[in-house]
Amino acid sequence: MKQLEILFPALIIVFAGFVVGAGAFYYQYDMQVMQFPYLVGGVLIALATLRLVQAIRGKRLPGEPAEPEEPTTESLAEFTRTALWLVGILPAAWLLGYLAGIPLYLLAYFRAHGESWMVSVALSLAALAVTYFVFIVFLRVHLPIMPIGFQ
Amino acid sequence: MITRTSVFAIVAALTFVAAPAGAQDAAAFYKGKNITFITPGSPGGGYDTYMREIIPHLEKKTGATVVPVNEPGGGHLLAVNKTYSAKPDGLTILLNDGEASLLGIVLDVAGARYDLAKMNWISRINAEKRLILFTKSSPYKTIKEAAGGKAVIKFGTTGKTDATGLATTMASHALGLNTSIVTGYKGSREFVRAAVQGEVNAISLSESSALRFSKGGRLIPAATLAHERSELFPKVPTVFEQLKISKDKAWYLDFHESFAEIGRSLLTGPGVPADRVAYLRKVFDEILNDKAFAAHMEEKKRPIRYANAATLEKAAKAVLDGLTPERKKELKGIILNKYYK
Amino acid sequence: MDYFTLLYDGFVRVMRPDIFVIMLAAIPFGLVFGIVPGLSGLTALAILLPFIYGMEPLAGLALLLSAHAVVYTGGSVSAILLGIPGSPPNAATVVDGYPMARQGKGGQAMGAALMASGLGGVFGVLVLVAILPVLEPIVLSFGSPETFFLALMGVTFIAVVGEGPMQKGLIAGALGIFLALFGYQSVTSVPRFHFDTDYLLDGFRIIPLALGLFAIPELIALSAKGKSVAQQGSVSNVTFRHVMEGCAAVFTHWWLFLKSSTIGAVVGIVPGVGGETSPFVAYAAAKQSSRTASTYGQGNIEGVIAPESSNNAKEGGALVPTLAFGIPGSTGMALLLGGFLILGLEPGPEFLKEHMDLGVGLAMVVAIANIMAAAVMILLAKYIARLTFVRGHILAPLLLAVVVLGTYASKNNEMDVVYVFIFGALGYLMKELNYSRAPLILGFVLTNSIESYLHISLRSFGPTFFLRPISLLIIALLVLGIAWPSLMRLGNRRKSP
Repeated sequence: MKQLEILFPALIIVFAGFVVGAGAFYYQYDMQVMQFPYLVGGVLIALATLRLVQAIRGKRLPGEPAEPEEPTTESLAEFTRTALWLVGILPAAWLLGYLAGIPLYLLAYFRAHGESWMVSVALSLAALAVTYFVFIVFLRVHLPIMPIGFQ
Repeated sequence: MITRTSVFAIVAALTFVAAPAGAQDAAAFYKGKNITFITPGSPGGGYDTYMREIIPHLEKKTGATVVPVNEPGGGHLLAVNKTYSAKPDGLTILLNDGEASLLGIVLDVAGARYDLAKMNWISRINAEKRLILFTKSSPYKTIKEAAGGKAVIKFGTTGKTDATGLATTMASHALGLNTSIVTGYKGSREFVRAAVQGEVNAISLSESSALRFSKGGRLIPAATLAHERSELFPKVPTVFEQLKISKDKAWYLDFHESFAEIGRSLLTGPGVPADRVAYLRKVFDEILNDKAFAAHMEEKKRPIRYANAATLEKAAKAVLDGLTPERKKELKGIILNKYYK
Repeated sequence: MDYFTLLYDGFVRVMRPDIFVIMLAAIPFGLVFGIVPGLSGLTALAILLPFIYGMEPLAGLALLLSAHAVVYTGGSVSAILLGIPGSPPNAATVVDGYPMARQGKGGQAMGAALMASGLGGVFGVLVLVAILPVLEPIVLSFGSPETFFLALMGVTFIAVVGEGPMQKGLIAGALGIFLALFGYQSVTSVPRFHFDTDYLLDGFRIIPLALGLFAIPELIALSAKGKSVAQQGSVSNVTFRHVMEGCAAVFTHWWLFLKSSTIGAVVGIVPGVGGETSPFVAYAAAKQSSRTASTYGQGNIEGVIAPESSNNAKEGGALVPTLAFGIPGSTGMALLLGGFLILGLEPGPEFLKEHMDLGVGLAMVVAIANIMAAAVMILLAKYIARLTFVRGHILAPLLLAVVVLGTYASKNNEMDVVYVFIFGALGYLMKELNYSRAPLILGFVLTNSIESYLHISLRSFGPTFFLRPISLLIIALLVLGIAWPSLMRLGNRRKSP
C-alpha cells in the first residue's frame, strides 16, 4: 500500500508535467491557450508533490482511517488475473463483433469462474437476446455486429 | 499468422466479386444495400432534421436502407474525415457543414484530414445569407455610422473558426469596422442572449436565425452580407447598397459569400465510381426539387435552397483556388488575430 | 388571461388519455436508462428524438420530458446498491448511499433517494410555474459574469464533496479540472493537447470518465472475490418497511430537502453552469451546515437526500431558460430543444407569450412523471435490491457487458469503451488509496464554464466585471460558504467554553 501511496502522486506529477510540457514546447500554444493549464497544472503538481513527500515519510492524513482498509485484491497476481479477465471483453467484442463477442465472452467468463454449463449458457443466451433486441432492434444502436474485417 | 493474412485475402476477394468496378448498373447496386448517412449535427438540430426528413425519400428512391449517423465532434470536421476515409463504394454520404469544412482547410485547423477538391459534390440542400444585427446597446445605429467610426463595437461569436467568426472578421475587415470580438458563447442562442443583455453590441446571424431572434425589436438588422438582399428581409439593404466598397475590400465579402454559397450540402468521399456519383446526384436532384417536399420543409422552417453539383464545385473552387500562401497567411491573421487584441 | 386560469388551462391540456399512455411508456424507459450504468438521460433523449417526428407537440414533448425527468430517479438506485452511478450526476449519491447499503441500510437509502427525487422534481416544477410570468427578467439578470461566479462557487465545494482526507479530495478535484482542459478551448478554437488523435479533439467524455471511476473498481471487487455486494458488507434483506423509513426521513429533514431543491432549481435556471453540478453543490452545502458533518461519507442519510432532491429539482429549473430563451440549461435540455425544433416550435420570449399554456402543460408533465416514477420505484425497490445478492462472478461480467454496450451506445464510439478501462485504472487506484472520486467529477464538469465565462466577462466588461449586483451577491455567498465552517467552530466554542 505504501508503494502505491508514493506511486500515485508521482504518476500525477509525470502526467501533468508531460501534458503541460507538450503544450508549452511541442505545440507552443499561445499564453491564452496555456493560462489555465499552467495554473491548474501548477496547483495539481504542487498538491501532488506535497502528497508525495508526505507519503515517502509515511505520514497519515487527518480523515484517513486509523487501520488501513483491507485492499480489494489480496495479491498482485489476484489483481492481474481479475483485471485481465475484465479487460478481456475488449478484444472479444473487437475481434468477434459486439453481438457474438459479448455473449461468448460471458460464456467463457462464467465457465472459467466455476458456474455450471446450464447457468453459463442460459445467461449468455439471455445477454445475446438483450443485446440484439434491446440495443440493435429497439434502440437502433449501430453496434459493430460483424467480426473485424467483415464490416 | 495464417488468420490475419487469410482474412485479408478473403476480404479482398469478396470486394472484388461484389463490385466489378462500374460494370453494374448504379441503380441496381444500391438496391438492398446499407447507406451510411453522416452529418456533423447533433440529434434534433438543423442538420439532423434535414437528414431525417430526407431519409424516407432516399430509401424509397434507391431501395437501400439508410442508417443515420450523427458525428458532431471536432468542430464539425470529424464527420468530413469519416466520409473522406470511408470505403469508396458510394455507400457513405455526408450532409456537410460547408463553411466549417472549407475553413478547416483555409486555416489548416488541427484535425482536418481531408481534401475537399478530391471529394464529390452531390447537391446543396440549403444555404443562407448572413446579416449583421445591432443591439440597443450598440454605439451605432446603422452600418454607415459604424464604418470608420471611432467607438469600439463588440461582436459576439461562438468560435474563431466557425461561420460566425468568419462572417464577423470578413465584414469588419472589408468595412473598416472598429471591431472587438467576444468569443466563446456556446451557441447562437447564447450570444443572442448576451446581445439582448448588452454584453455585446452586434452579432452576425444567418437569415432564418435573424428572423427568429429579431422579433420584438430586440435586435436591429443593419445590413445583409451579400450582393442580393435576403428574401426574408426584403427591406434590409445589402452592404454594397449602403457603402461604397473598393474592389480589393470587396474581395473579402465575396470570399465570405462563396463560403455561404456552399451551405449545407451533400458529398461523397474520393474515388467513388462515376456512375454511382451520377446516380446519387440524380436521386437527390429529384428529392430536393420535389414541390411537396419543399413545401413540407418550408412549413418546418427548414427551407430547401437547392443548387446542383456544378454550382457547388464552382463555389468551392472560388474559395480554394484563390488561396496563395500569402493570401492564406493574411486571412489567418484577419480571422484568428486581428479582432482579438 | 390571469395566472390561475392559465395554470388551470395547462392542467386540462395534459389530462388527455393519449398523453397519459405516452407517459406510461416513457417513464419505465427513462427509469431503465437511469438504472443501467452507461445509459444516461442524454442517450435516452437522443434515442427517443427520431420517434417524435410527426407527433403532435404536447405529445412529443411529453414523451421526451417524462423519460428525461425520471432518469436520475432510476440512477440513484444503482448508485446506492452497486456504488455505480446510473448517470454521472448520481455520483454524488454514491458517497453516502453506497456505504449505507453496505451497512444494511440500502432500503432506507433508496427510500430517501426516491422520495427526495420525486418531491425534488415537483419542487423544481413549482419554482418554474411560480416564475413563469417573470421568466424573462430573471433569466436576463444572469449574464456571463454571474455564470462565472456560480461556477467558481461550485469549485470551492471540491474540498467539501466526497469522503476521505480533504487533501486527497483537493488533488482529485484539481485532476478533474486538469482533465477537462483537453480538447477544443472554446474561446480560441484550439484543440488543446489532442496529441494528433481525433478522439481527443473534443476532450475526454463524461460518461466513460464517470463509469471508469466508479464502475470498474466495483467490478474488480465483485470479480476478484466472487462474493455478492451483500456479502462484502453486512446486508440483510431490504423490506418495504425499510424503504418507507427512508421516505419518511425526507420529511424529518424537510429543511435540508427545501435547501437542496432550491439549490438544484437555481443551478438549473442559470444556463451555462451545467445541471450536472447541482447534486454536488447540494451535497457540499448540506455537509457544511450539518451538525453531523463528520459522518458524511460513511453513510449519512442527509448525504443521500441532498444530492437526490437537487438532482431532479434542477430539471424544472433547467426548463426556465430553455422555454424563455431557447438556451438549454443542461446538456439534456439541449437535446430537448432539438425536440421543440423538430416539432416546429421555437422557444423564446415570443414563444412563451403565445404558448404559455404549453409551458404550463410541460411543467405538469414533469411533475406527474416525477411522482409516478418515484412511486413505481418505491414499490419495486425491494425487488431491485435483490441484485445485491447475486454472486459476484455472475453480476460482474453482466454489469461489465451492460457498461460496455451502454457506453458504446452513448456516442457510437469504440474509443469511449477503451477509455472506460483507462479511467477504470485511475478509479481503482483512487478507491484503494482513499482519494474521493466525486470531486474529480465536479471539477471536470465545471471547468469549461469557468474558462469561457471568465474570458467573456473580461472582454465584455473589463477587469471590474464583478461590480454587478447579482455577481456581488454570489461573491458574498461564496465567501460565506468558505468561512462558514470556521464561523461554526467559533460559535460552538462560545457556547461550550
